Amino acid sequence: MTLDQVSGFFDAGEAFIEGTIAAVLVVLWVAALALHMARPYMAKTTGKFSLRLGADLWWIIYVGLRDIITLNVFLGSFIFFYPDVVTGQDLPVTGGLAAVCAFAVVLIKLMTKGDADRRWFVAQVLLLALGATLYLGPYLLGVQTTLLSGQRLDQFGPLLVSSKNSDLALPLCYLSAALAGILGLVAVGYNLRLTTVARPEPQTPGVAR
Amino acid sequence: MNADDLAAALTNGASGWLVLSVAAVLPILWAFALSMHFARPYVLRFLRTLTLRFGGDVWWLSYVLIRDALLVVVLGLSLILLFPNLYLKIGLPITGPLAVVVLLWALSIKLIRDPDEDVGAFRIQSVLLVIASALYIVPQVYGMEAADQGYLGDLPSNLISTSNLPLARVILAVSFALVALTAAVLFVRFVVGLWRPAPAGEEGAAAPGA
Repeated sequence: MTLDQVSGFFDAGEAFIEGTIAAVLVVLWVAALALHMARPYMAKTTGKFSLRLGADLWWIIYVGLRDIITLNVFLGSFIFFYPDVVTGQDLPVTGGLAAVCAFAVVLIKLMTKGDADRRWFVAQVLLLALGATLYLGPYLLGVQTTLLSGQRLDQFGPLLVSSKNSDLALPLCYLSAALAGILGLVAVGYNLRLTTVARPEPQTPGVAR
Repeated sequence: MNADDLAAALTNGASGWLVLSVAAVLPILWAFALSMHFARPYVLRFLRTLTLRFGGDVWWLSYVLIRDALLVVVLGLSLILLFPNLYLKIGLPITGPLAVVVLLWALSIKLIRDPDEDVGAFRIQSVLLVIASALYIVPQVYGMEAADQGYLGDLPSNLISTSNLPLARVILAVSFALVALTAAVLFVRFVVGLWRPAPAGEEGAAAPGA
């Protein structure tokens, strides 16, 4: 084994991890969207519990799982903000924009009443659907077709893969990072403006609300 | 290449790969930690919808546990930025050690004041966390992860410690001094606090089994 081969060995390890993250993101995107769309079922089930404890735990687990998966979609998509990774690996060309959609959903949850406000909940689901489309579309039709060949596939497939369409992928990488940064600053500003909020005391003994 | 050379190459390669992987994961952990910190209004809003204090406590405990544990994990992993052999030889974000210092200050506020109840402390901690994350994420993403982008000119190399050694040495030395000073101040404050009478209601709380 030569030094170059050792180096190549670890480069392969890095590529494997990044490829695995890209594949796992497919599952996370589907899970995030599905859990949001499952809200009516979850709310209906909450009404079937005979104990308030069970209903509260069911709702906490649902909301916690749903929102932490949405946040993890954004966190996993952080690789789309790395210029070297975007140009070096086969990734969905619009993955960065999808990450911005996921972050926007998280921001809506932070700044609005979320579930209680139907209009903003619809906005969340629409953004998730847009993000999932921006991710799943190029992933399934571009990244997962690099080993196939065909007249249309050869023409359009590479356009959807970041390493083969770096002229588009790099501007989108910087644009996505800038948008995520702006949304992040909005979240920080919102928090600083709201810092008069303290943890609420229970209004009646034994009841949190 | 003989067996010793191969072993050395594999060991060094694995070490470098591990360090660089930690460095690449840290922006994600930073984003996670910041998201949890700034999710406070959302968490409070949901807390009010829960019908039982039990549910409220489970929700709040989980939130605080994850939020604080993430910050500690980020600090723990960021300590590699203070290892001279890694920072000055392998190459890491140039302002990374300063991020460690500012993160340590942000965490110190949790020890000195109560950011969950004290508005001023929460604001200071929030600003410190934003500064610390920027000091790490910007050179990591536009230095370490943009080294192959020729059109960026000298920007990536200026943001990597091994390509800008004179500045990196100064940053490392200053960061060392500030971390040591902060740790010393916290330790002295803790020791002095042991001689102070405990506030009403806290007697016995600190003693296990009391």
